[in-house]
Amino acid sequence: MEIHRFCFRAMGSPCEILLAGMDQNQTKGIYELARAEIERLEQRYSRYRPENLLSAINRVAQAGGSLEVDAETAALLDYAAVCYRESDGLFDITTGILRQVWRFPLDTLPEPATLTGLCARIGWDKVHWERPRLEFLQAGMELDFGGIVKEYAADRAAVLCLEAGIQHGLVNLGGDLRVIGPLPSGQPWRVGIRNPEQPAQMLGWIHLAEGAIATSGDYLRCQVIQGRRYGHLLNPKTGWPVWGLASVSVVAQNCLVAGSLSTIALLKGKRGVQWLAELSVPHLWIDSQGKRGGAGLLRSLL
Amino acid sequence: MALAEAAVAVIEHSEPLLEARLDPEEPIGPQAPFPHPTLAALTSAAFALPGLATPTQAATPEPRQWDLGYFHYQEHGERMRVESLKQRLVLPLGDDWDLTFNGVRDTISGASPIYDLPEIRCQDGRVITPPVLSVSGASGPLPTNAGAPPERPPLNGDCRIGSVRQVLLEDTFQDTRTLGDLRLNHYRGDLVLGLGAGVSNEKDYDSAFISLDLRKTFNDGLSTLTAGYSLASDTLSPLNQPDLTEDKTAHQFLLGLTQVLSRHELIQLNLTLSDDLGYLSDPYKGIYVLATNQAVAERRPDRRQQWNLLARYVRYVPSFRAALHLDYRYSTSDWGIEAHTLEASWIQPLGAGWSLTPRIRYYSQSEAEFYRPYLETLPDSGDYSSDYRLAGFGAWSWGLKLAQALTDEIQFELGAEWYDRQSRYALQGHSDSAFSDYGFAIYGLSLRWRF
Repeated sequence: MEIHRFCFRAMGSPCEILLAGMDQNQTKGIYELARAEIERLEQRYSRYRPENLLSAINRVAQAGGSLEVDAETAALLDYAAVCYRESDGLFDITTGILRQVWRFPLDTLPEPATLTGLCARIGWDKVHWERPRLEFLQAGMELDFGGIVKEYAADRAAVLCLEAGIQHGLVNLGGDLRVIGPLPSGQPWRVGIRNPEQPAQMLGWIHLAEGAIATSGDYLRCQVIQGRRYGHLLNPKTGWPVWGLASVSVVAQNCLVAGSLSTIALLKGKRGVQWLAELSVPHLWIDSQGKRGGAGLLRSLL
Repeated sequence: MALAEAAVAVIEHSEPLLEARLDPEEPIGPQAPFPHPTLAALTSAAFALPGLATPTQAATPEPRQWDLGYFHYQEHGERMRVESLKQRLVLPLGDDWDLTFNGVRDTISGASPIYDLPEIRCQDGRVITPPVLSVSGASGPLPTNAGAPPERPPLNGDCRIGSVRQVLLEDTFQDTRTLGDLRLNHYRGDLVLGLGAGVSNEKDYDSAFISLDLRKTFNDGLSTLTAGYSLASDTLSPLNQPDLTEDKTAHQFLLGLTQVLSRHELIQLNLTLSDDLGYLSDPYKGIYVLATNQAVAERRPDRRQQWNLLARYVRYVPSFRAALHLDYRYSTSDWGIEAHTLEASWIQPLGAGWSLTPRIRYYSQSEAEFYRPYLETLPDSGDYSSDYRLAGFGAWSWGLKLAQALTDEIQFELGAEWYDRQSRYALQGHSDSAFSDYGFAIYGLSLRWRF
């Protein structure tokens, strides 16, 4: 049985969907369904699309005030609230305004006073969220669903394929990967894990028959200034990039959870290592000195 | 037989091991891992998103792991003591199978009550203790009186039963129990089929058992239905009666439903029916007969049917990142014992790999229809037993467990539990059995290694 591979770009990343177990026409139709769903989510929640749902929310966030949101957005906000709580406030969808000063490539480091000013407008605790009403208690805020929507889209695409009858396949949105089902032979997929230090190389391969894997890291978007590495993941409390870990991969039941866990671990810095161990999820971490650790099926890559 | 008593005391179900074999939620060894509350919270929040619940949540084999535990059970006073060593090895075999091997070795020593002795108090101040004939331990039969019964005053207005005290079978025997069982699970989409078999051996008690159970997940993974059956075939050869060999057969049927109620809550309902047939008496227990001043062997019915209902509520408490477990158990048997158990535990992660679980439990049972502390005269027919486990009583127990994830693969657990049984704690009406009140403590240390 053939495996059909579809490649495209979405959410700023190269993506692929692999489907097997059905004939070409059916497969193509199902791919288009999944693709349309990914496009729909990108249209709604991307911060690069003008006049979309997110920009409407952010107009209110900028001015202060409140608005009612639809059920899907409400569920995403609920999820973001759980991430905020479980990460002790590190995973915060209001952190986005820091990008105004942390715009790579950086010429100079931002002034501490500038960061303090921005941090005053950051914090999920400055948002009052009670379904379906979202209220910004302070003006000048901004929401950003990066770190949630791409992973959610991978899960949604996979579930749509399952519902359409596909039992074998996977969805990979820029490295956030969700398995639909194993190969038609029952064999698991071989999934490569990129080496964060040398992105052209693979650290190795793992076998995944179900579930999802997501990787967070600063290796694709970071810069070294005066010998110190500055990544794109920012601490909402200090305004500075986090350091300690360079890359974290997590395997979980779905891509959304894998993505949030790897992002939270990275935000926690070195403390993320212990936190991952407590969670008992398969994971792999690489710190900024190149030291590695992990558990479960990702241990084979140590 | 001796251990059966200790195990009953701990779990307060007549066949706790059998129940453990059937109930996939309650393995014999250290508790199955409860997903870390953060992971549980994120996973349930993710499933609340529109269209994220997958059509089927296939169950998969358990990860490879080895559990090793040491437990020390000590009844207060110079009573029974059990040292227990347990191991559990789980090996996944490919994508669809896993194999679990359990091994237990218990060493039992110490005294246990065999019958209750009434004391006679007279108005003139005399206290007459009916004679206790020498009890030489497990190697001899229950003492019987060869000659004429010794003198004692008639039980009338002047003399009556003043109090009762227990006669203990002294620390003359030490027994070892060895148990081994294998369990094979087959995973097929939303279906898990489990097959188990094992044997257990003591000097005076052999048991062989098999079990079969089926678990099916449906309703987008929110509901799980469990059905199971187990059969145990036991042989008793009591050391105090060299010529006696008796058999016992135990059937158990289980039907269970687990339902996820919301992002943070689930309930579980289990209904169990056990049907025991054969020799159900305890060959070491006797009952004192006042008319003849002697203890005779107890006599229980040769069949017992018992229903157990477990209702469990589990709730994740986001503000503490902790989990609350509330259990209620009800059981009723045709021996007349009706029991209620209420239990609450709180699983609190403390950070840096530590977690603390306090637990509290209340238990109350009514007495068996044929429970008598002692007999005035020996009836020609019918059943009688003075076993304190068949009396009406209540019990409080408290426990504390501290777990630490040392590394990604190794987890340590320290636990302690204290138990206090009192006749007056019972909810139901019953004859006083305060003379058999007692308590015990269990300390445990266990290690889990995922490799």
